[in-house]
Amino acid sequence: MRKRHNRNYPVLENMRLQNAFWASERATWIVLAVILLIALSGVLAHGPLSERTVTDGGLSLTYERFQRATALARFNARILVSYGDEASLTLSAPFADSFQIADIEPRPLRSSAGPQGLEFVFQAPTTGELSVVLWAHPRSFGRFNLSAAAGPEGRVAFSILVYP
Amino acid sequence: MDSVIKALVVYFVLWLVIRATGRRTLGQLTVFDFILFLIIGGAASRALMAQDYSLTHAFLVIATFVVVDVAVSLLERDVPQLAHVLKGVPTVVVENGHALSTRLRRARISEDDVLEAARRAHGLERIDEIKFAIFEASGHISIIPKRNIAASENGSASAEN
Repeated sequence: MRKRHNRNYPVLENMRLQNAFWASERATWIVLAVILLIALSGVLAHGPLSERTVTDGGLSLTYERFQRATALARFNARILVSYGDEASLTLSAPFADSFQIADIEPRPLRSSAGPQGLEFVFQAPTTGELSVVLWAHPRSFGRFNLSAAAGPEGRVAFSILVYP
Repeated sequence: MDSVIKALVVYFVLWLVIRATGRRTLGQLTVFDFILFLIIGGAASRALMAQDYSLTHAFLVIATFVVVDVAVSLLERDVPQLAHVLKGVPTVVVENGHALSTRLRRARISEDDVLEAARRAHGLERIDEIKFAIFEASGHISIIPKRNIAASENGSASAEN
């Protein structure tokens, strides 16, 4: 029997269309499987390819470069404190515009918002390295070019792609 | 505006995914299929309603779905070719007692599925008692029994009456 042979009785067939449906079904399965593999790799956020660390001077920032709109994401800033009993972390103004901060650990001694962005001042630890974990969620989707600074020496620029 | 766009995107994605699962799922829901559809519905509704549980947003989402659904049904009515593409076309899977194995395999239904439909509809026991089995666009399997079997069915029915 030929696959494309159309029968007119008892129903009017269109095997050309039906074969196209079956082919498109299989193509969609493959596309969905590829999407799952991409998701497992972290390209669609929350995975190994998503996590990235940028370092400059005394600041090292670990973040997810792929995120999803309104989903909570973790930022970890490690700040080397060489002198004084306080350490500061400044997040650029676009960060304050595009992200809503849900939580920050440890609690800052004080915080301020200005044209340069959000500045948090923490109690410096005794070991010399301060680890700040910040949870925030992007307000909308798109690509965001951001920066963070820890005092005058450490300044990192990073980019985050947020999926809808 | 984003409520309407989100609803349109979700409608299209859901249509694509459900079509990709094939008619088999639509017509012959197993308990697992049913749970699967509940989960798909839950995930889609969460994505649609994310952080905006206002009555206005809910109304816009519902209105978008209803308008698109009605528009699609009107298009299907007026453009038969489009209806074939959107709904699918019927396919003969058993002809004169012979199962068309390539079609059955590609439609992901088995001879057992056809026999189950034949038992339910006409109390048939074997494939060779079936004149035509048609895998409908709705996902159901229609059975047309061979003439002598259909006649004996009618005879027994009138005897009972």
